[in-house]
Amino acid sequence: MPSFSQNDFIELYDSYHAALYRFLLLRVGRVETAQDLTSETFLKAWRSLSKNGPVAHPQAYLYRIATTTLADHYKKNGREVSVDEEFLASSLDNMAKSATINDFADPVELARVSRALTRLPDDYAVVITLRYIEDLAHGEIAEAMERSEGAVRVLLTRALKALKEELGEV
Amino acid sequence: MQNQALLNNLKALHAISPNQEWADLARMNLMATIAAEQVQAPAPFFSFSFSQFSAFTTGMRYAAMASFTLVMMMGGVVAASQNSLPGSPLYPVKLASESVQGVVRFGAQENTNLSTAIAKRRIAEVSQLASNKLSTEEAASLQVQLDEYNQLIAEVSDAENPEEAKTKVEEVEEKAIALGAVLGSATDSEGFAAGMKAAVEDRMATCSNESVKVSVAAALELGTTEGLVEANELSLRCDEAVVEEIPAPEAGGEEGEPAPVEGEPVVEESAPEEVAAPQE
Repeated sequence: MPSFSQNDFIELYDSYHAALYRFLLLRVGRVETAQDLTSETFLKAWRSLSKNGPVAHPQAYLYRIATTTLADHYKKNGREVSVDEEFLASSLDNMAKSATINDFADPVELARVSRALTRLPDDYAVVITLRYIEDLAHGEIAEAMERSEGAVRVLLTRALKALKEELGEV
Repeated sequence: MQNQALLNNLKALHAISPNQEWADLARMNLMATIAAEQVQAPAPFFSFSFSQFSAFTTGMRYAAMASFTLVMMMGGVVAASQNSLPGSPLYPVKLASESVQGVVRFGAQENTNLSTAIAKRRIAEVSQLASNKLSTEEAASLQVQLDEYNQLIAEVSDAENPEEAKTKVEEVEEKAIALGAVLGSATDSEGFAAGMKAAVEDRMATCSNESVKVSVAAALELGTTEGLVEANELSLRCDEAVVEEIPAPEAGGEEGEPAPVEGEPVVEESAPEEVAAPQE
């Protein structure tokens, strides 16, 4: 069995910590909680990968661990989501200044979409995040969510509809 | 919001990124935790949590996390020290961490078990150093003595009185430490021989047991690794009355008799007495 070294872990962390953090932040709405859950996800990943060896699709694997970590968090703390508005304002401000933000994005709309995302059921928010924010292919999402590609496509359609409803657009 | 506008907004959220300071500290924390876990059973890392510092300002939270990281990095140093050998800069950290382990155990049997494990560890360290620094033959000669140490530990660990057993085990550990200290500071066979001789002579300078002195001198005269190891072993027994039973070494060798400095009678006679003693 190929081994998974500490160097492999550092590479994994450097490649995906931002995506995992973003994913978790858009679920829990608070910076400190997202930071804790991100670290916890990586520690769980290390414990498993160092014991069982590397996996074919580490990103999908990490999202699976993040999802269970999130579920554990809900069990302990409830599903109450309170969006850190101060963070949202400063983050959106930074994003507006960032060269990576696309020309069509409006900071006010971004804040609205972020809040609406945190209110969606987990499955819907996860599939939207992975497809449109993280730009994963349907196959990768299927692996991360342990569903078929067909099921992911159906879920995505329903999730977008639900998001629009949250935004008051349906 | 039109579909395309919504998708653009979602894509824009990709620009959300964590604070770089947190990301760096979290990486260090994770690595320190991983290092610590490799020498101990996994500990619940998230007894420390950012959310526990929610009343703090962001700066204070990072300061708290940095302090925690420092402690964890020290844990990392301890972890890194666990494979060190005598002579390594990290070796004292390894010994210190073992002392701490001793402090947190309470039962007599548990203490004896820990002492036994530590003594075996010392012996294994000497064995590893010997294979790194000495020739195969020299290492094999030394290994004979190390095997005797392991045998002695196995015998005393069966004793009914755990505290007595612990004392015996610690005596063996001290002997292994003495060998490790010499091997650790030597770079090769010559350095080891010179170090052993110097250590033996140091002990003999304060030894008033004439019989031991004579036996040690004879063993040193052999000029072999076996002789050095034997001299070292004998020199550590300066205070033991049993050594007086060793026949005078002058009679050895030339007459075709077994050389008394081989020391076999000492081991044969002393070991059973030592094991029997704890009955009190």
